[in-house]
Amino acid sequence: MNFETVIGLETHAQLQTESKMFCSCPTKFGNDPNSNICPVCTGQPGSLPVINEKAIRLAVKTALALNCKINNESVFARKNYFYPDLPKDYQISQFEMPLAEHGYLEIEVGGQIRKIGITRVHLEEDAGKLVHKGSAGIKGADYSLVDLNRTGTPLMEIVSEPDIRTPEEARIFMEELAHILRYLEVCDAKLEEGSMRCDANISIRETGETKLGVKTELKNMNSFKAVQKALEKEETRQKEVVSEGGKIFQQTLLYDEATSSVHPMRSKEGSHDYRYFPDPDLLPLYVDEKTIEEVRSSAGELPMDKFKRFLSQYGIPGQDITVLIESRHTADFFEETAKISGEPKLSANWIIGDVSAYLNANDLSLKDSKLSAAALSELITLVKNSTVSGNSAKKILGEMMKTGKKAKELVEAMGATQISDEAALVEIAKKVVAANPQSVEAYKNGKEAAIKHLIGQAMKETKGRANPQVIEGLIKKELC
Amino acid sequence: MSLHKLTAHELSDKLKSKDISCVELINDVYNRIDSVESKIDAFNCLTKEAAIKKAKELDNKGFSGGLSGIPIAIKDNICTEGTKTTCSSKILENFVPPYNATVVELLQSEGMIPIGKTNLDEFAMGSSTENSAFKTTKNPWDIQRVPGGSSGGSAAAVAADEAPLALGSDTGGSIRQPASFCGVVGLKPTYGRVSRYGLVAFASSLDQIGPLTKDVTDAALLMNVIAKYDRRDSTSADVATPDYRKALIKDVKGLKIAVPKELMGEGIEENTKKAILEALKIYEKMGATFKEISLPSLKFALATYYIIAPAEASSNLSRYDGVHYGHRSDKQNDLMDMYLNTRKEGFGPEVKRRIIIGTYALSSGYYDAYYLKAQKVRTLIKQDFDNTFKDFDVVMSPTCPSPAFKVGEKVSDPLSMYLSDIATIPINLAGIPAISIPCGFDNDLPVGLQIMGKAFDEETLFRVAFSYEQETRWDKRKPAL
Amino acid sequence: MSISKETVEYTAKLARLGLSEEEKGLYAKQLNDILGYVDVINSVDTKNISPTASTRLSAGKQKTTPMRQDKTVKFDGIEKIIGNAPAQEDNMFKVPKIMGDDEQ
Repeated sequence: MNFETVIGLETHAQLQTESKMFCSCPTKFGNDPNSNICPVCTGQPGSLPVINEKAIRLAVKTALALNCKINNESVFARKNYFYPDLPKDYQISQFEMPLAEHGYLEIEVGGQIRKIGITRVHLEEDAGKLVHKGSAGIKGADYSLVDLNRTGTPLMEIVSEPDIRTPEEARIFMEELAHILRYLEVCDAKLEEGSMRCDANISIRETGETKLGVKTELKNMNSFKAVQKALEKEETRQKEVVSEGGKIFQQTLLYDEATSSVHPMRSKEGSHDYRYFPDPDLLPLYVDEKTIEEVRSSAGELPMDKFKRFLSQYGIPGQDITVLIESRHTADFFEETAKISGEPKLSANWIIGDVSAYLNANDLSLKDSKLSAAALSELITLVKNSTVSGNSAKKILGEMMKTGKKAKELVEAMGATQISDEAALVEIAKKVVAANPQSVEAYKNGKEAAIKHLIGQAMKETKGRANPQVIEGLIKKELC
Repeated sequence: MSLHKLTAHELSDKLKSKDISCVELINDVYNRIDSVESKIDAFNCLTKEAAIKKAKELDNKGFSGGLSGIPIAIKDNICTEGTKTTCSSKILENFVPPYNATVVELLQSEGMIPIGKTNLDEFAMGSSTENSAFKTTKNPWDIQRVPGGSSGGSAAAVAADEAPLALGSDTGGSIRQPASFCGVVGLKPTYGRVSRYGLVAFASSLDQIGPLTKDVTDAALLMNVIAKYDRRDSTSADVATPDYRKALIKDVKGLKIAVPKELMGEGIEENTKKAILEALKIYEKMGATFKEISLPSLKFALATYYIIAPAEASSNLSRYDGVHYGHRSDKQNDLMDMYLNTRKEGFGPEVKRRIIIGTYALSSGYYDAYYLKAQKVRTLIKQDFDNTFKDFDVVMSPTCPSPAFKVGEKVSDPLSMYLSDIATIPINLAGIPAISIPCGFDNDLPVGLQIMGKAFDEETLFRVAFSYEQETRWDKRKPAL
Repeated sequence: MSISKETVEYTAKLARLGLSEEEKGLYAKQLNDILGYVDVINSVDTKNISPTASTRLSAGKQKTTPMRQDKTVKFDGIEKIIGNAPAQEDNMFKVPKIMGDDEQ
């Protein structure tokens, strides 16, 4: 029997707002439990929610990037269920009328573009955190403690159509989605830290069948790799069950990263009945065309469009572009550097290479570093016109990024200016030739490569400042 | 001097002219409470110490106008920081809110003096205060009878001269019905006129805070204090608030009054009907005209209400679960156990009944037939009123089908209790304002006239109510206590 | 429409409301009365009528939603909120074990 796999993903992303979804408590908090709470997010009797405007704009921005239709009128509803991390015992969410619908996301899988439908984008509030005591998890715990710091953090839910066909596609979809969220500065999209969470629905069916099979839901995937791994495990399990004549039952499974396996989640209640109804404390959410246009123009060019433009405008390789457009700031930085220096390829190489290496080594982001596009352009120009050597430039870059000083300043201070003056280098050439008879002998016997050693010695003498082409010419002259 | 007999505006004049001090006034009020409260049981708690302290401060500062220095009773479902807010429920018996309701802040900045929290039907669910977990308030006109509800404590306190005025809340008649039973003035403002922030929610789309007072002038003055746009309440209306005192003019010439026959027919007692017809004649004498009309959707208002209100309530009351505040059961082997027992012990029968109705109406499979259908009928009710106000200035009806009933009379028959709100409920569904004013007596029990107006047009209600009050002075009659 | 004791039981469980056997019977009866009464709304023709969730919508006429700016304000009464907890530990709200013995 040949099977086709059908996967749909539900992603929750914490929005990067300063304050919570329905109250003014800060969303950033330290380790102290219950240090950012107020009457509203703790569900005190009589308290009322008020919508955070920024959260709406961030969700609209995302929905536009996902090619969704924004509903001018959407509704916040109450999802009713009892749990200690949910102080009101209902979650304000969107149900029948979400903020946005009918979008898609294009992803590249094995060189092919795949279009994955986006069913809906909606907003809701996050729940609090539980600390279980007397056991590692909820199971076997003696009691639990509730920390409401996270309660009320704005969450955006993005639901895909069941258009995904392989676990690998699912991972790529998540990576691309995370990229867009980071690029739009909507969410920092870290699965490991929970700022982005993913649930996956998976079913299989015989190839050619159009009806959907019974699906299972996978939870607890804390990395992109885990998304793929968990789906692979479950895909294999389902195929085995069906091949052996068994049936798939609808259930929720938890992925265990340590053992790379999936296990059924114990369900608290047989069925859920969330009793959704429009939250009477909030009026419908109206987003007018003017707001949508404002958000659209502030969002700027989207990653996919930028990719295509960079390819044709700068002629740099695709994999380099992917790195450059990882964040909007990096992309802008690149374009500015390319413009000032007039050297897009060199600019890209520097940013992807030494600049990134420095940032990684120092755990910095480009935004936080002291490097400006103008400064990097100056350095690129100094290398291009041979004022400094490539090696020196690397050292200078480090200083620039640490201190914010200008390239020229550093070059002079470090005495790193390249020596291209023949008169200044001729004595060095003579000295090197005299001091290395073996290499001279070898060269004269036809071993062209031996000259490399001599040049290296000359560079050593000049602490790397000698212009390599000039010194090579001078040494050759000596050897004649 | 028997200051407690006076209205707030009369007291304000005395404070202004320095005839009396705030301390004298507050002491007189508490003396009155001491002498009659044991018969009335209007208060869940008194805040005498804080009130006297506040009165002293105000005396030192000097009179600052408006209702500054006037004592006020607050319904015990309005959050007061540092003072228990119980909703007359065991589940919140010891709950001290960490914040003040917006209206409480407004009272404070006006310089008014809260004197205590008044009894109500548990979570404002009821029409008699018999559903209070703590006590049943008695009607000052006949202590064998209920004061109405749910703001029965506030209405009785004002009628018994224990407070010059009080705040209540009205979800289906909870200000107007007790005002009618106790012979005082009660206004349910337009939905969105007064902030609900800090009012413990019963049914969020219907709840509204409003005044209970001895006369129409006091109601207007108290509205001047509490009617204000509030950013903390998303359903608060960002509309300008007029000076309601300016609406107090005796003039109804040319006023067009509609009287829906659905609220004057079956189920309305004869003597009540008679009182209303007499009131209409007085309006006629003053230059107004009235006409009987039909609002067919009103027949369905009670049914609509008893779906929407419990549905919202079932969700609003979920938070009383023993986790973050309020009562928690000792029987708590595990979380589910704790939830079930906490709510079993903490809620009274009427609250449980409504939670079950509401949960049922929202549960899957029934949502469309009940909740959604009720919301559509609600639209029809609203449309009926909208259309009426195209041709009429106000609508009038009895506030209640009968005067106050006896304690215990309806307690075992929820449906007959619900029927006592038949004339008040449609107003909450339509979101419009309505005022109840005394319009006579039936065997020494007060009868109330309900005047309904256009949304955000409380001014017309005040003018129309004031004109009648000036003509009849029913407000001057006091219960013998 | 008739409500059985089992429906009352199921509904009460959804609402986390413990009921005695007596209450279940009583509420089943009273709910039947009340639902019998409210069922009259199903005789109303509501074709093409949109639902009213809040009267604020038509009252204001403006199609805008009140919102707040994304500004933070720290609430200065957190200790009062925690102080109201029926049980607490380490500044957190303490709850009994979430998984019952029968679920372990």
